[in-house]
Order: sequence, then C-alpha cells, then structure tokens
Amino acid sequence: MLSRSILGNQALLRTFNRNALGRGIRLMTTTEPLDDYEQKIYNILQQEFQPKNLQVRDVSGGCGSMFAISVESEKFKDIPMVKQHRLVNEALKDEISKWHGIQLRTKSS
Amino acid sequence: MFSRGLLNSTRVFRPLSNNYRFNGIRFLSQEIKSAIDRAVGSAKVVLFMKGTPEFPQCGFSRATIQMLGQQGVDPDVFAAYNVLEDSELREGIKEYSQWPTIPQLYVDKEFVGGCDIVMSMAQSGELADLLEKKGALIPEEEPETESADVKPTKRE
Repeated sequence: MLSRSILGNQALLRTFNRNALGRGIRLMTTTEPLDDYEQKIYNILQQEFQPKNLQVRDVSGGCGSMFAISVESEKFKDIPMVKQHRLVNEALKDEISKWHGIQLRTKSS
Repeated sequence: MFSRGLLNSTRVFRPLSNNYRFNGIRFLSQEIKSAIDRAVGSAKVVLFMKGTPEFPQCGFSRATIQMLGQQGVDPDVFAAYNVLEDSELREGIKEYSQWPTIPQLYVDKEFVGGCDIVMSMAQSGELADLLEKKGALIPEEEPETESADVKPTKRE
C-alpha cells in the first residue's frame, strides 16, 4: 500500500517534470532532432517499413525505456492491426526486450 | 463496484516447476505451455497484467483494465493473472503469445492484443462488438425489473 502510493507520486512527478521541460510539446512536433538512440530505432523502422510517416520519441521522462512510436506504411496494407504490431515488434525485438514499455500506433498508407 | 467483481474473479496463477531453464537456454517448456493454455482457457476474457485489477502496477495494465470495465465485461467470465507474481508466467506469456509486452488480452482463447490495440479497438467500437459477440458483457437488466417499479393501478 505504502509502496504503491510512493510509486503513484513518482509517476505524477515524472509527468510534471516532463511537462515542465516542455517534452509534452516536443511530442507534438517533428522538428526537434532525435537523440542517438531514438535515431537508431528510427533507422531500423525506416529500413524495414519505408514508412510514409514515422515518429519515434523517448517518452520515459529520462530513464530511456519507454517509447512512443508511430508508423504509417504501405506494407501494412490489408493487414490486421495485431499483425501490423507484430511486424513492428519483430523488427524491434532486441530493443523492446530492454524497455519497460512501448506505445505503438500503426497505420497503412 | 465493477473492480470489486473483477477482484473476486481474479485467479492466482499456480506456481510452476522449474523446468523452464535448460542448459541456460530459455524456452517454453511443455509444462509452462500447458499451464498457460489452462490460464487462457480459464475464462472467456483473460487478461495477463502487471498487478491486480484492483491495484494495477503499470499504467498500461491500468488503462486496459479500465477499458474492459467501461465496456461492461462481465466479472463472471473474466480472469486476470498477475505476471509479477510469477516470473515464469511473465516470460512464458511473452513467448506463448509471441508478443513482447504486458498486458495481453485474450478473448475466447484468442489473442486480441496489448494496451494500444485494445484502446484502438475500444475507440472504433470493435472491442464492444467482439465482447458482445462472445457473450462477455454483463447481461442487460431484465425488463421485468424495471416495470416492477411502476405499479399497475388496481382494478376496481
């Protein structure tokens, strides 16, 4: 019970810090350059899916183990969403296993 | 109210034996596989999550359980398994489903997806359709119950 409320506070704090740093805004824009690791993820997806639209953001708020990824690719055409996610999961298999979480959005173009 | 019901139907994954690691190589042993088979088949709607429906220990698990609540999943046909209580389950389910993250939702023994997919399906209405089709929603109140509130005028 105690540990849970501490956890809750940390999560709140993280959210607050993130907003305070303006990362919430950063998420909405594509102009900010990617850091090295984001770029690495980006490149893997770029090569695998030749996406029309691709976004990779570290949304961990510092620890670097939570990513928001959005991929729009012709390769997803007529493929159910579960399958689309599986393709991305497979491409990023080695990286995802190191992360705490991933928010994934896929779309066919 | 709903989460109470969910909690009641939460089942604890039984501890499994240690055959999981063999020569340091990890693989899904037959024993673990059949234990997960049983878990997947233990209810119409099965969620593998971090924490319990009452105390989710991860934002994605929390979001998923909330969505199932909002959809009106019947607690009687729902089971949740806390992967944090069992490291074999935690790793095993990823391999079993060929899916790298938790939570994982199964409906009628079929893998549906993780948090993002459940959310997207909830938004599109697909999730409601699926749950309805599988008879996993709380039954609508009997019309009789409602009409019982309105007392008919007695005949003279």
